[in-house]
Amino acid sequence: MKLLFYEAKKVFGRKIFLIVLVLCFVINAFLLYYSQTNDEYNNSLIYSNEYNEMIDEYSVYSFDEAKKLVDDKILAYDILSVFNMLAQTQIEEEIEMYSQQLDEYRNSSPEAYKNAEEMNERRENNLWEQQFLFNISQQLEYIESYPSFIDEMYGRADSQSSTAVFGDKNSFSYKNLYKTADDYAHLKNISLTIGNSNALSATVNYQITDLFVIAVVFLICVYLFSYEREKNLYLLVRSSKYGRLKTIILKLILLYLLSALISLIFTFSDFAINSALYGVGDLSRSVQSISEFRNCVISLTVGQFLLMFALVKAIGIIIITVVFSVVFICFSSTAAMYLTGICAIISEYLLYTYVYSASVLNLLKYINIFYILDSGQFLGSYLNLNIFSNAVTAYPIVLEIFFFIFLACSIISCIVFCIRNQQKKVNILPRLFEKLKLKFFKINGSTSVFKGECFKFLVQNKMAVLILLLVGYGIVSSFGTVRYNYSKESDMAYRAYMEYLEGDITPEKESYIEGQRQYIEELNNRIFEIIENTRLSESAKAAMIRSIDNILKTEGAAFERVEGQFSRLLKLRENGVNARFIDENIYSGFVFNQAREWNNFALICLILLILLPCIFIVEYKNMMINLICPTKLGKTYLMIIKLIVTFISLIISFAVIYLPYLIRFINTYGTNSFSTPIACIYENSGGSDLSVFGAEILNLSCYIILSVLVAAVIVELSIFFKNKLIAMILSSVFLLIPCLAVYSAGTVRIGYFIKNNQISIIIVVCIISWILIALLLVFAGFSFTKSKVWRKKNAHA
Amino acid sequence: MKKILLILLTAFLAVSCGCSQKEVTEIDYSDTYVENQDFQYNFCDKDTSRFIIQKCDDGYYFKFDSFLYFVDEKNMSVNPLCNKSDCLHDKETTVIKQTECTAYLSESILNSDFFYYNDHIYSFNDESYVEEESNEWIILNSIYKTDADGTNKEKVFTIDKEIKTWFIHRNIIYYTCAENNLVIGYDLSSNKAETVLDLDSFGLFNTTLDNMLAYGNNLYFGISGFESEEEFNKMVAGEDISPYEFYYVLNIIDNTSYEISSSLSGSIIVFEGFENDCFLYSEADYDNKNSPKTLYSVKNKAVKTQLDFKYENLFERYYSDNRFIYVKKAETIDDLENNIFEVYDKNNKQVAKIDFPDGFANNFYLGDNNYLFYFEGTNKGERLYYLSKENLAKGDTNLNLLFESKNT
Repeated sequence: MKLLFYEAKKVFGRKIFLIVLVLCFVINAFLLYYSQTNDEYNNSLIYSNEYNEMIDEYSVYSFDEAKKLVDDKILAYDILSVFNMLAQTQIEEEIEMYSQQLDEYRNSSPEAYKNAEEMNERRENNLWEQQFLFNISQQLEYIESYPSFIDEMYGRADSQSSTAVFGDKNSFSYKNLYKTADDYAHLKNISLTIGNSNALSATVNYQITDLFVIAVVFLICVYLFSYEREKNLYLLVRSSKYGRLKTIILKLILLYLLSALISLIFTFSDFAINSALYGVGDLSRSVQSISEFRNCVISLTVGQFLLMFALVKAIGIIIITVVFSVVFICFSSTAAMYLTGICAIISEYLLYTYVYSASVLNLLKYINIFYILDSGQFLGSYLNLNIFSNAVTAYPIVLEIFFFIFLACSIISCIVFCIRNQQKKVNILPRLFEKLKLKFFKINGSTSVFKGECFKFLVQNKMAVLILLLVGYGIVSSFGTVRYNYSKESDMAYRAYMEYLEGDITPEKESYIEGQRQYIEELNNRIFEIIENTRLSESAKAAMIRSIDNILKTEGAAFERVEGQFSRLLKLRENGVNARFIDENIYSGFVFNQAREWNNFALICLILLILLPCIFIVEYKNMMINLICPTKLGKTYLMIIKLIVTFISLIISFAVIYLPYLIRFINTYGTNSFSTPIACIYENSGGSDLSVFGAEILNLSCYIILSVLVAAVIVELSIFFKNKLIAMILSSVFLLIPCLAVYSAGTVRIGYFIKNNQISIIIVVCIISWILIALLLVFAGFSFTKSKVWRKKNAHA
Repeated sequence: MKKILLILLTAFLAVSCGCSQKEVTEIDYSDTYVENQDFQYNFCDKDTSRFIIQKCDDGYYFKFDSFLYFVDEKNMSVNPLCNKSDCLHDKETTVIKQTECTAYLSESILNSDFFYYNDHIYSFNDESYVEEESNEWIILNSIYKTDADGTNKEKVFTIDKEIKTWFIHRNIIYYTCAENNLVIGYDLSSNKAETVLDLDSFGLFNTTLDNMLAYGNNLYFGISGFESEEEFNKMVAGEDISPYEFYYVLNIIDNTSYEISSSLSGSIIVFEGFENDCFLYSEADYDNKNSPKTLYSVKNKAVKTQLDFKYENLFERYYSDNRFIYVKKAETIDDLENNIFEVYDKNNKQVAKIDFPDGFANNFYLGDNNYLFYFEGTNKGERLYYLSKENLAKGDTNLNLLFESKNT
């Protein structure tokens, strides 16, 4: 027990871990809150109290009474809408029609009509109430249909199995049909009620929490396994009384307990936030009362389902933890640990996301850690897996398999930890590299600080390989062309028009457009003439009309677009903009492409967090930091040189990611339209004079500032933690995870702001970025240059 | 430890390589219709080659409202192609649950978006989407393959173009795209795509592909176009000039080709089906209502033979299967809506007269030796009927309703 306590102290004793844990918790809470409140039309959130009151009101009644009341209220709103339409219309026929409708309603549903009259007098027309009534009505319909859904299960199985395609009794399909019916049978008389399930649904569907938990768990693994290896402290453990076995067992126990605890805390915090936003709802009703969980075959209340949901998530996190522990124990290289761990997670995620449920590879989809982490689906949906033509219920078999994986990985961890010398080894490739380095890349005698830093970065830390790969990738990517995806038939014709029209609006082009307009009109008129023609046979008419239609579908549709563009350009010209024709298809994607911007920025974050941590840490690792202080130029000069090396790496990385597309674009389409204002491309750009080239330069400038900010964050984390792996993990938490969170948010892109002429937002972003960069670099500089604290720490040690 | 791991890894790789060999499909290249590998011409609409129904060993598949159904040949019972008894298939109320149903095909506007081939179902899936910020429609069309029971789904290929029409014939998927005038052939064995036909190579102006079929070792393309842009402009200006229409026949074995066109000046040919391994077409001077309409058959290098069949009117259509000849009667073009068919045996003796439900949008399918099918589309919904050919031989023309969907 004492050993367990000391292992726990290794983790909790580090203030940084607690700070990171709290930060992840706060960021997760913020992102969850943001995701729920982002939609300004989310009435479930805005009127959550009213919704809860309505639920409580209708829950009191019996099913039939509630249904009648809700239907009457919905009908009253329908009648109210007819009142409103009658009040707004001036057309005689419509007035008559609406009046007739109201008469019919008055006769058939007098109560609802009276309600509608009262609401009309009170000028009551709450959209949110209608929405909630519809929601409650849907719940009631679902509850009404549920018993027959269960009762007819065997009937459906009999019907399907009677066909030739499902009739083979040895096939998976046949067995699946009847096993499904058997597994649902116990839900026959279950009692369902209406209720507010928004908090539960929002919690179940929110996936970002898992990423934060995985990152924290990864950090715990670093402190439990990697930290001591780097300090060479494992040599002491072998000679101790209980050796390594007890140590590793306790480490693993602690790791699993902490992972489960953190997962549970995060999950329940999500539910707490959602409950605060939407209301808790009735946790005692059956989970099958919620249509989203219709296919749940486990008899649980909503509260029990939530507990199971949290527990299953914790199990998923523990399994990820055990895989991490194997990776950390088996690999001694930092990069290998990080990459193997990340690759394992990413590959599982890709298999879960992209393999179809009906695919021949669906076992890889469901015997998958992300299926467990998607606990809502795991518990809330019914699934049988095809295992050698047998229908096997998914969740027990998945849990069993992962239990064996858990046992196997734990045992492997223990064995490898005990047997292997847990020191950092140098494998064949690094040894070869060392030999090459000594032979060809050697510093003879003294050298300048800058060259020394470059040597440490490129040769000692082997970043030369990565830089060379990046540069090679950049060069290769610069070749080739940018292909616009001509998706519609008319796109090619539009491109043909633009090849002539692109550029300034000249009198020749104006008369060309007029000529084309007349031509298209002529084609349309000709169709009518052909139809009226009595001399031609029907088949001849059809053939002629088809050929004209073919032109109209392509050139005609393209010209319609050109005409619309032309009239917009004329209006811009009147407003003083230098209006020019430009291919909207090609240049709209050039100025703003949501996916390309995200991909590039995420990629540069990833490259920087691999490249940069080693620049500032090397002196801390080899304890040379204290020798620098008494040197002639001291640490400040060294700091500046390191920042220069950082900046050069940043520039190279930025160039190889962002420039190839620009080069390929210019190679394909030239620069003729670069001086065209972007107002000519987008309707809503507010008449901005900013040219295409200017927009691109602004875009690149903003992203380079943001990249500098990313670099500053990484530098600060490296210096503060003095540990490369921790710096990489925390950079991932603070940079990559928020990037993932905004992946689908198209409004969080520099190109979006440029396109919509929101230059003020861009300026604010840049100013804030510069301020943060300055602050971070000042703090980093202070941390790096302070020597008294480090000496004191050393003295104490 | 390392040696054991190395041996295990080698063994795993060896097994994986063995398992990854592609299924080799034996193709019967007889110059006739071969079941389970050929384009099912008897189940397609003659003029558009559109399908909704396909034959398999034990029955038929058809598609209604994005769901695939299986018809058991023994009792003609209809069931969605889904092996889950907790699924309500087409009666599911939420889109998510509908798309999770195994019987669900994509919300495609194409009619012919599934085929039965080599004991598998190939289906078209329109995965296009609107990119939110640019409002740009991103085209993504895919072809998927499943087993005959709808399971084991895998993607055959995806392209970033709109597939306009496609079918499978003798292990090749032939398709055309909205973007260009090419017919592409995707080989299912080699997974490679090649251009089969370039419509622009005919040197016509405004060339369109009106029909695409396959039978035996031949592909048939119904093509129309103007001799020159000048001729097209003359037509636009008011002259009564029709495009030149013909069928281009391409042999898939030796790549030889020939054209089938009308011998009458300014006339067109109309595809009428396949009989005795020959391509049937009719031609007439449609501008002269009293002119005769003649039926021809063509086999091999445009050797055409005039058949004895006599059309009574210009607008009649001819259909033929192994047992019967069906003639769609119409004195005027408006009569085509009545869908009245006279049925004759191979000795030209009339055996029945079928009055199908009226409607221009309805389709008649010759079917197989057992049943013919009829599709009715109305504002209120769609219906699929079948008629037993055994009963037809006895003069019984009662249509049986196979399936009905209602528009909500």
